[in-house]
Amino acid sequence: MKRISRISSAAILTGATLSLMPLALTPVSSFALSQSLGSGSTFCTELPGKAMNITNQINTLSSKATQAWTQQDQKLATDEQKVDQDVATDRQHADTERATDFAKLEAKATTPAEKQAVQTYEAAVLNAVTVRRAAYDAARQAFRTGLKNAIDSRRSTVTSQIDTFKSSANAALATAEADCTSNTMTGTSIRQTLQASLKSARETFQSERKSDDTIGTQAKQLAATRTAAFHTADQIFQASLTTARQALKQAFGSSSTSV
Amino acid sequence: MRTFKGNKSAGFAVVEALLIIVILAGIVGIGVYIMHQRQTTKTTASGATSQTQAPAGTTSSIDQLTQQDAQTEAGTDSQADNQMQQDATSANSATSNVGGAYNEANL
Repeated sequence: MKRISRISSAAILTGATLSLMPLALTPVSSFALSQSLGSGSTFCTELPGKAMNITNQINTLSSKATQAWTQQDQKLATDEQKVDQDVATDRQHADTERATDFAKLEAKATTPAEKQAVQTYEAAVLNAVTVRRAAYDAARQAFRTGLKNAIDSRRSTVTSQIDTFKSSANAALATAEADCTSNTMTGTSIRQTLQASLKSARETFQSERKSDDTIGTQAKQLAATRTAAFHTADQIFQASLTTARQALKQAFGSSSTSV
Repeated sequence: MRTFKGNKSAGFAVVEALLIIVILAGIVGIGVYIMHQRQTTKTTASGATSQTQAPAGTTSSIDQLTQQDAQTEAGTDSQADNQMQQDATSANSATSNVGGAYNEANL
């Protein structure tokens, strides 16, 4: 009886264990559900919503980048306007002061020859100033055009990078959705493949973004080129002034020290 | 005694006169020295002024003016450079942020 009792107890225990096993293996989490084939997995069920979120987020951030470019254009336009206004004010001030000096210089000329020399001198100075300012304007414009070209080129590159990023992400999501529909892979496998593809797309984009970030260096080089052009214009300007001054002093002869 | 007195009085007058002459010479000397010092200071100050600001209505003045004009203009561009370089890179963060559109680990 005892033996029979032991056997029946073991049978009951085994039977109970076996009857509970399916319950223990019942998929209760998304991970467990993703072990199911394709469309049967929680991952595949949730994928369309998550894919839409990712696509929307990429588009939103892409739009923000475009808005940042528009704001950047406005900032640079404001910077240029400020320089133009300051330069115009400075030039006007210098013109007024020079006119005052010219008037005093004219008052010192007593003979027709001296008066003519002063007129010639003034014309030479004005011409030198005009030439210098034109050279400065050209150098300044070259700087701005160069900077704009550099920015446009970079934007074109970044736009291409963003497009590639979008395409890669969308392709990865489309592949995952197709895999879910085909019902040939487990949810886990589809998920891992999608994660790897999205990671690759993201890292590729971020790597490219770091490598093409040279706009600051280009701006400095352009500014250095502009400054060099300014110096060249200054040297030509000084040479013109020296020539005009010597001619004037020669015309004034012994009283040249007064001018 | 009168002679002695008279001589004594006359001697004193000579000494007094010499003393007055010496004092006057000293005052004149000090005055000349002060005048000389003032003149020197004035000349130095005038020379220093001419180095910073040439007399108006001269070619030197016009040279200075035109040079200042050029320097001011170049300075305006240089001052704007930092701001423009900053603005030229102002969209960098926005474009880089696109790469943070998702975290694939959360899928």
